[in-house]
Amino acid sequence: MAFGCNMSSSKNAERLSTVVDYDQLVTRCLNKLDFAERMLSLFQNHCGEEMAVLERALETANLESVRLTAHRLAGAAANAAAFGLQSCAADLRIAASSGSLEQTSHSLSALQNEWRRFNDAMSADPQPFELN
Amino acid sequence: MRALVVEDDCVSSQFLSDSLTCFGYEVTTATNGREALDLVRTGEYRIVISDWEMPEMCGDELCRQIRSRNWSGYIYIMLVTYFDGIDRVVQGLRAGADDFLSKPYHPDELRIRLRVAERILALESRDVLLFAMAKLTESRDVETGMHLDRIREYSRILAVELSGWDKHRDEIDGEYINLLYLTMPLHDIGKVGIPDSILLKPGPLTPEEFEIMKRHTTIGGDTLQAVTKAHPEARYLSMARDIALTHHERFDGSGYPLGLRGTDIPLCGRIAALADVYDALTTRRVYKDKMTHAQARAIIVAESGTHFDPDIVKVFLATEDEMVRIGHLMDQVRPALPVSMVVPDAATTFA
Repeated sequence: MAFGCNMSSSKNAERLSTVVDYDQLVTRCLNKLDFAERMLSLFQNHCGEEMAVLERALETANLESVRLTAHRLAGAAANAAAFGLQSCAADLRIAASSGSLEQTSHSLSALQNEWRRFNDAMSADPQPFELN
Repeated sequence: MRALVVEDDCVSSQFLSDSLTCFGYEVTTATNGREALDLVRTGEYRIVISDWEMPEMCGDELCRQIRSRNWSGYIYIMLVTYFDGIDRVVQGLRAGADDFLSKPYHPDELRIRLRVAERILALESRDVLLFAMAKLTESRDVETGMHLDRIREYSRILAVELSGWDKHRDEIDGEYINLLYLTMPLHDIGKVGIPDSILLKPGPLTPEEFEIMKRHTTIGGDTLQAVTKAHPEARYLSMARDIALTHHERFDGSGYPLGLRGTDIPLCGRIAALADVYDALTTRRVYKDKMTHAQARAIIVAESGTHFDPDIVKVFLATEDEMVRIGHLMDQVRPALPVSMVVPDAATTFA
């Protein structure tokens, strides 16, 4: 870990690093660990809400809503350095833009899987930053 | 400085707000363009950082709405979006955005782009401020209507020539010349503090009155110093201060208000001294006819090393044709206004 922070354990660290680029997040948060911690927590809560919005939008075949929400989620994930979710959200945005319900549904499944992976990693270590 | 963040995504909004707060901005957030436009209408925001895709009113429409109105000052708009196709950049700039930033962005990039924004806003403030101060100076310039214009032209000619000298090459660059040109009209701004009974007196000043008249240098210098202190980064203010304070200093140390000698007098003050005197000598006053260029030239040459910096005199001699040409040209643009009042100026104090 960079900038004077450590992850709680090496096992958790490995797990978390598969869903979040911590170095990038901390750099983006001006090397302030409390800022980074706050952003990650905010993102996790917000992402849960956005996932629910996406699911409802797909149920009603509202692809425009899917596209807008996926776009917003991709931006939020990019800020939180959650690269897997960023990539999946970007794919979903493209799928929704194409107008294909099948492709959108497929992309949403991929996003949901990534979201579960993210949550598992985060719940294994809810406070990933420790001050030295 | 206040900044308005327009973002419908709470994570991005928080991220941007916290970053801006760390950079020293006072941040307000809005979640869509319509809400943002209402806030912009308060006139409190000069910098708007907006997401592109938002409910109710998106970023490019917000740009168009802002640009369609006349505001008291320029509003700098930066669009931020996750998706960054070139078409969208063009679309955003066409809508009136000043800059475009893609998510995710590095905070240093954001900070540098905000500095650009501040520079642009400061330039606008500079021009407005200089214009206002020049108008104020002009209101007390009871000599000839073109005096302020001529002195800035003469100063520019001298500075351009001087910039070719090895000795001054490092000090005088294009920016220096531009600032000199912009600030030279403020050389007599301190006259706003001189009573009309002295400034407008139709006859020679008594020694006591002349002492009061001399204070226009310190009044101008002190006023501009106060502004410079508040904005130390604004080079034009420190130059304006130096000119106002030192344009009556003499190279041999016998001038006022400080009795500075030689190169202790700022270069801009030494340039202003010659330009001011040359203009005073070669224009008509009610108490004297205008001198020919040759007569003025002889006086200036005779005072080289005493009143004037010998280098500036050499530059004056090297550019005299251009000085004469500009003087004639400006006479044709607007003939010297009839002068109804005697004003002690460089010509009388020079004698």
